[in-house]
Amino acid sequence: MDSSDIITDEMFTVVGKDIENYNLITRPSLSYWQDAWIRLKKNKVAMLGLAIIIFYIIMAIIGPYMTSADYRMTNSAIADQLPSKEHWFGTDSLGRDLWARVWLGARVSLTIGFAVTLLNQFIGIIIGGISGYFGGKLDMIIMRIIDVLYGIPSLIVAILVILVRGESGIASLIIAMIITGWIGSARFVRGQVLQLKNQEFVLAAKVLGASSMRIILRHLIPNMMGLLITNITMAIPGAIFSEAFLSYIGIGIQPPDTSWGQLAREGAQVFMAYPWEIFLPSFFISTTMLSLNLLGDGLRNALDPKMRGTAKV
Amino acid sequence: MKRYILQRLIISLLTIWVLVTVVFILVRLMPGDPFISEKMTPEIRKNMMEYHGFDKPWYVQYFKYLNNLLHGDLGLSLKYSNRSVNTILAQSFPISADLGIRAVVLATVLGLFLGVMAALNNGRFFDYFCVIIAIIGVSVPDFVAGSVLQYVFGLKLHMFPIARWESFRHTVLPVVALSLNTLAVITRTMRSSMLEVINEDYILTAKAKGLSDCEIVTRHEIRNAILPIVTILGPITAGILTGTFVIEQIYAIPGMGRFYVSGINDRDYSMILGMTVFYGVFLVAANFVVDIIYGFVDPRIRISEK
Amino acid sequence: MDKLLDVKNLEVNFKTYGGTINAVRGMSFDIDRGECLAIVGESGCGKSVTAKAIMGLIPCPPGEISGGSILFDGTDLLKLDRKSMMKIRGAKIGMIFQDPMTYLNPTMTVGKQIEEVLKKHTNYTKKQMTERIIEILNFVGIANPKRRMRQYPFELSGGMRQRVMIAIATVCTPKLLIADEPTTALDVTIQAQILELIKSLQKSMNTSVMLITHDLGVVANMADRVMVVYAGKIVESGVVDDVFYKPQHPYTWGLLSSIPTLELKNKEKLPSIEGTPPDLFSPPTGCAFAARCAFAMKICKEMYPETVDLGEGHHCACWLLHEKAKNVRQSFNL
Repeated sequence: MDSSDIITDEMFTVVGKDIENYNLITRPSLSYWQDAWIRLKKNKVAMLGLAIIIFYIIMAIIGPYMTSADYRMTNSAIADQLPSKEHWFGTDSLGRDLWARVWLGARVSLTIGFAVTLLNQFIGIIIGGISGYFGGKLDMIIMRIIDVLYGIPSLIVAILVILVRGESGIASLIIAMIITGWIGSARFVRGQVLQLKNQEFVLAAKVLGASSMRIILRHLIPNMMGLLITNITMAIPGAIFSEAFLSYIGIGIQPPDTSWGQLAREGAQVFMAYPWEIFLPSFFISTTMLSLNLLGDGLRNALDPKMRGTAKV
Repeated sequence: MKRYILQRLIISLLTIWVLVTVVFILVRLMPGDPFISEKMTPEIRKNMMEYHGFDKPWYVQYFKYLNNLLHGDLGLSLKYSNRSVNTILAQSFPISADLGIRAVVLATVLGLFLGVMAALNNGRFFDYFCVIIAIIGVSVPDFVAGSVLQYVFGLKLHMFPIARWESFRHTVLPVVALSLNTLAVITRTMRSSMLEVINEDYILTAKAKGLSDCEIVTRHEIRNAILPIVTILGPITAGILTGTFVIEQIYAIPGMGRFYVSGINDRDYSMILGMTVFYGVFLVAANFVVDIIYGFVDPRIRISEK
Repeated sequence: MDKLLDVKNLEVNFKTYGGTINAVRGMSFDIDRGECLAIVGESGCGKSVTAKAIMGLIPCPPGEISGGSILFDGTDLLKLDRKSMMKIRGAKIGMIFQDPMTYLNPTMTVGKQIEEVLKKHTNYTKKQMTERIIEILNFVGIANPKRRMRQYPFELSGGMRQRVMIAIATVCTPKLLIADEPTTALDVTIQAQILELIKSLQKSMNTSVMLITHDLGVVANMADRVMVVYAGKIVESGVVDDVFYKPQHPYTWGLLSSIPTLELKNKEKLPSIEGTPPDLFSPPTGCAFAARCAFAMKICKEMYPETVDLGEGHHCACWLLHEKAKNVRQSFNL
């Protein structure tokens, strides 16, 4: 090695350890939620989904007011028209403005979608949480009941419930969908609680004298929040689909009320001649479900603690 | 294993019983006089009375009802007044089953294939392509897919007939439309399952044995990745079943679903009652079968605990 | 000089989104027939990567063997095509891994997993394979082999699973057995049994063993020679007794003194080496251990030390051994 030429005596002076450099914190520390939000923001597709949902919600609120026409008026003279300057989305078979109807339908579909999902999750958290946390005989009984109920096909029951109530307004639909809808959520929450309650931070809280209520509220639920949020986001498309499905086969929202599913049903009746009328609500249903799925996917990745720290600040 | 089967059987039977009872209660709660319609002849009215026992107290009605069911008698239709629900089912069930089975087979075979290929090509174009198709497939409701396919390929391009169920060409569009959702779900699930398995330690051991890539993929990766797919077969069956309601309407296929939907619209309560019970029992039975299959496939369940 | 394995200047990199990791930065070592070489070092120092490189198990991409040669029984493994390498893997070189629960296929019986190896590398008939499987299971100390071979991994205890792994790796009588932390996931009593098993296999099959571990006790028990690895380079190597009783590298001193002994007094802090290994994204130009070395000199930061031959196969790469560092050694009483 020719490096021996440039080795001097001076180089052999002792310098010792250089540990300080190793203890530098190379990144500011982030909380779980900050880290997740940063990672979510980087996911362009998920952000697009979020933007679309927010846009639809806004339009659902202000959309119907944006046309001058009275959207309840029927006028067979102008029925089944394609989009034009007066009717941005065209008109339906009874001559009603489709722009307004779509956004009115959005109100119903989105409301049902969110409400059903949130109620399902809420009931599920309570039942699953109690069952999982308190365990023992109570848990066993509840689990058996859930096992049996889980096998009952929910759409079929929903149909029956609606028939029983005799009317099919928003309330009926929501009730019908909740009756069996909470089961999946309860199972999931119970599983999570079982997993979490055996972890050491719960034991620590108990040792410090925390009451059950406090443990559930301050320790268990925050640790499940990430997964819960993801689940909710992924479950809303299911609820929207169920409403659309039920309305499409005629047992959901009835005219003159409207929802996207109801619009699809009306559109199906004139499908051959005026395909536009079914494609329109179908487009909105699909894009809403798609956006929520993409957002949910992104949330799942962002909230996954195993991927923490992979975002560059 | 035996214990497992017995346990699942008991739960399934309980579920059926609960379902049947719920149906009984709900139907008795329906407004008006659900089983009497103006068009009925006295003879039919007499049959109805006998079948349901309307003049007897409710517990007698309940046992009559259970008894009828156990004999496989699902009642009479109100609309098709000279036909029993059983007859209607016997005619239409094979058609729906045909449609459903084709859709399931297509979705499963193609879905497994795409899922495996996507995972093996992780990060490359094919993978992104599959993921996108899967997400879209999951987000588009079956009536949308059905309508779009009918319009594009049937009406505009004249490639396939747009209705009825008469030849193989008739089956293409409805089967594809019905299978899309399931195809997407299976692709997604298989892909993520494969990706998980590929990164497992025992795959490294397999490589250390000097096995070829092909042997590793088939014998080790697919064999383990397929387990989660079995667990979702139950919900998939339910999805296909409800899908037939819509697809049969769109394509004018004389299957069970169409009768069911028109029964709902006509408020033919008697038929709805009978068909609901049939659907319910069918789905519970299907779930039971899936549970058994899973018991065979997962060695941890197959080996009985001591 | 009958070297079974001769590795020269091996360099392995990994390209990641954060940059290139230089995992192995020029390692040269060899293993004779029938001897046991131990490779010791902290997590992440490159020992597992070296083993996988020899087996051809580095995924390329993102991995890349950017330099060096691996001569096994005269053939350079790095120049072999995939098919030839597959013939060697599992048959001529066997590898056992750390955690037998996760390293065995949960849905395949134990017997089938061993049979796979035989099917791939031999022409045995079904009957012969079954006999060989029973034979090897007996050999690794599993009682009742006929019953056990039809069981699944989850039905076996941790120690038994590790024996199965050893059976899988040795059923074709390999010339070299690579053991990557074989006892880390087991409890102490089982550890001893497994090590005994590996030792007896080594003797009866005349297999060379490359034992990767971070447990110096295991090294003392098993190995003929040992090499100490730090940040992708070998800092000291030699016969076990030489390295343990006459260590020359400050890192080796640190490792040896950090073994808890029975003489430690109550409440005395467990000795450890301060600091953490360097970031392999941009490894230092000088000696990688300099920042944690109490005896580091200016030259240590600037140039990588030459490897000094201390006789009888004992090598060490440290500037302290340079003649110009005599004063430093005297002042520290080394």
